[in-house]
Amino acid sequence: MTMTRAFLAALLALAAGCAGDDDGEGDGDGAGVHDCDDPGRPAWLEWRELVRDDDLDGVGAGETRRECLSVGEPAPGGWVGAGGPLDCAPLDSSAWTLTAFLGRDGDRDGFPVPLSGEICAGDVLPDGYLAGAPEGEPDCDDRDDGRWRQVELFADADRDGFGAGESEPRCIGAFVPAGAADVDGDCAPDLAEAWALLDYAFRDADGDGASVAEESQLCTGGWLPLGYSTAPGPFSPDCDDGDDARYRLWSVFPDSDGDGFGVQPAQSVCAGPALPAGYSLFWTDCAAEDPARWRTWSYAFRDADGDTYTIAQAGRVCAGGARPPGYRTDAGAGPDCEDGDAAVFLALTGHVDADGDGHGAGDASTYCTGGTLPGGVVAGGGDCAPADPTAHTALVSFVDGDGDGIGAGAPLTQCTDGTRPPGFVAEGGDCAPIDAAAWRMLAHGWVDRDGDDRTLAESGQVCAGATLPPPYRDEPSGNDCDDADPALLGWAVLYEDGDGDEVGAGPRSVLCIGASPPDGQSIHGDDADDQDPVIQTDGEDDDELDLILS
Amino acid sequence: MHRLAGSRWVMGRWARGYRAMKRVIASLLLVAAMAGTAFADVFVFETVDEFDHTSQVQRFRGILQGGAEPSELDVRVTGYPESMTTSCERMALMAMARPGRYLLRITTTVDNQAHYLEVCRLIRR
Repeated sequence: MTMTRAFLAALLALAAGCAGDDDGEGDGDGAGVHDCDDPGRPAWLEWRELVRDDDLDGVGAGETRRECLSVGEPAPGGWVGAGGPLDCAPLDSSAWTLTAFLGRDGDRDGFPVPLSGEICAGDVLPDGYLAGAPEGEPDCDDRDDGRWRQVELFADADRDGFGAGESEPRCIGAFVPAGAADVDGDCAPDLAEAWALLDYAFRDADGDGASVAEESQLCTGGWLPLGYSTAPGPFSPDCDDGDDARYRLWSVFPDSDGDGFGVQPAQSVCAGPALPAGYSLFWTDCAAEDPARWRTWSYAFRDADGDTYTIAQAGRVCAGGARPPGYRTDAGAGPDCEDGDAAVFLALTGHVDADGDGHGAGDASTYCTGGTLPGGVVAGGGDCAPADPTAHTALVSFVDGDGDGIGAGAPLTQCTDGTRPPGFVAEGGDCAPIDAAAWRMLAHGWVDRDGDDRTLAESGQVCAGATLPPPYRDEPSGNDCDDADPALLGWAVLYEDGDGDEVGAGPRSVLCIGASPPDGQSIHGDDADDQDPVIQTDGEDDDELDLILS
Repeated sequence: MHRLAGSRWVMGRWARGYRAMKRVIASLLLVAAMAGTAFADVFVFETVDEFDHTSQVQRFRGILQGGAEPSELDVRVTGYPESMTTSCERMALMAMARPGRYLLRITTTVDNQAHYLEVCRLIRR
């Protein structure tokens, strides 16, 4: 309608512009319409060839006409300029030109098929056509948008997802149709719970957790069922896979007496988690039929009579939890001289004491005793008078005539009661046999014969008693200058004192004197003037001495 | 004249003050025993007649107290401090310069029959 109105407006405009045109050619065009054929037509008019454009898509087809239009004036509605390609769909405004395509997706499922040709289209190809060649597998059914892929399917009668038998090609969509499977190898085509053939290496038929080695395959589901495994269970191998109470093979020793200790040889017993009854892990039972004894004890000493005294005897004894009495590893109280009698155990040596004086005689004998020698036997021997109860001990003696405890003369052997008779002593060598105050020789180094307590050096020996008798000394006392005069005690260096001032002067004399110097003599000899009692020092001598000492 | 070695004779000649000296000698003997086989000896000169000093020995000559004849004592001083040997020398000179006025007491350590100087003391009479 709009284009019709525009067309009519254009005609009116042309009529107004061409007013007065008299159609000089007489062709009938001049009535109300300008005539491009008139010789005097205006310069802004032209002839234009038009073609029908019923669908108004800008591309015409079919009927054509010639129209006198102003320059630049659009063609009237429903018409377009001729000379271009014709509209391949004159009544379809969305299509006007033939366009080539290389693919086709007839069912619009997104999976095209290769197909080339031309189709009348507009600016773009209509839906379902592809300008380029499609890639990938072509749609196996381009008329059904529910199917697009061609697969090989296997019959899956048990519908477990795994097929069997020969495959056949099927065009399907996203999902495999029921009763078919795209995976074959169903080891049990009629059993929905089994489809895969799985390897197993161990079998636990009795379900006790212990398995036995058995390599094979099993048609099952996605995993091995209980009783089948690829790894051994605990306590494997099962020594009895047909009994869930027994799976562990014990290496044990028969324990017939039930004391917990068995005997060799070892036996293999199939049992459960507990040690089978009548067997032991230990083989040390030394008395297989005696439940009170199962262990061997070593010993080094025997005390058969139980008196704690032993005999050295090493060995082994079968017993229970403790070393049996009478078998020891130590010597106990000591060696047993008789291990069969608890009353005697100690070996003692003795001599027969026939006279009962406590001293035996003859050779020594050994007696097995209870700790004491039997009657009539004593430890000590050597009775010098075996038949005399008053004498038994032989003593060597010396005659001590002066009674000072030291005898003299040849030694004498006497059979006594243990004590020497009066007048006899054990020690001899009296240097003065008839002087009770002297009996031994003592050394001296000095003498003081005048008794002034000043000694002279004189060494020698003298027969004496407990100490050296005067005048002998074992230590010096001064140096007696005259041991015959007790008034003279020692040597002194003296100087004659001429002036009586108790200071003398040289020459000196060495005199044998008593307690003090004699008159006219002095122990000092440094009187500077021995003729003058007032003068005792000399200043010049003192200066000279000071000079020397300085 | 006597050549003095370590001996009890010398001490025997020293009559006066002998018992006091025994205690000193006992102490010195104890020190000597602790040091080895050495022992101490004491000499008291009543007169000093000669004194010699070499680099190794000091020689004293005179009459020991209680003695009748002059004696001679050699004392080793090798390695001793000069102050000590000089002190002994001065004491000897004093005893020589004042006859009878002093007693010169010399304590030595005796080792292998040689005397080694220990103490010099000058005692006024």
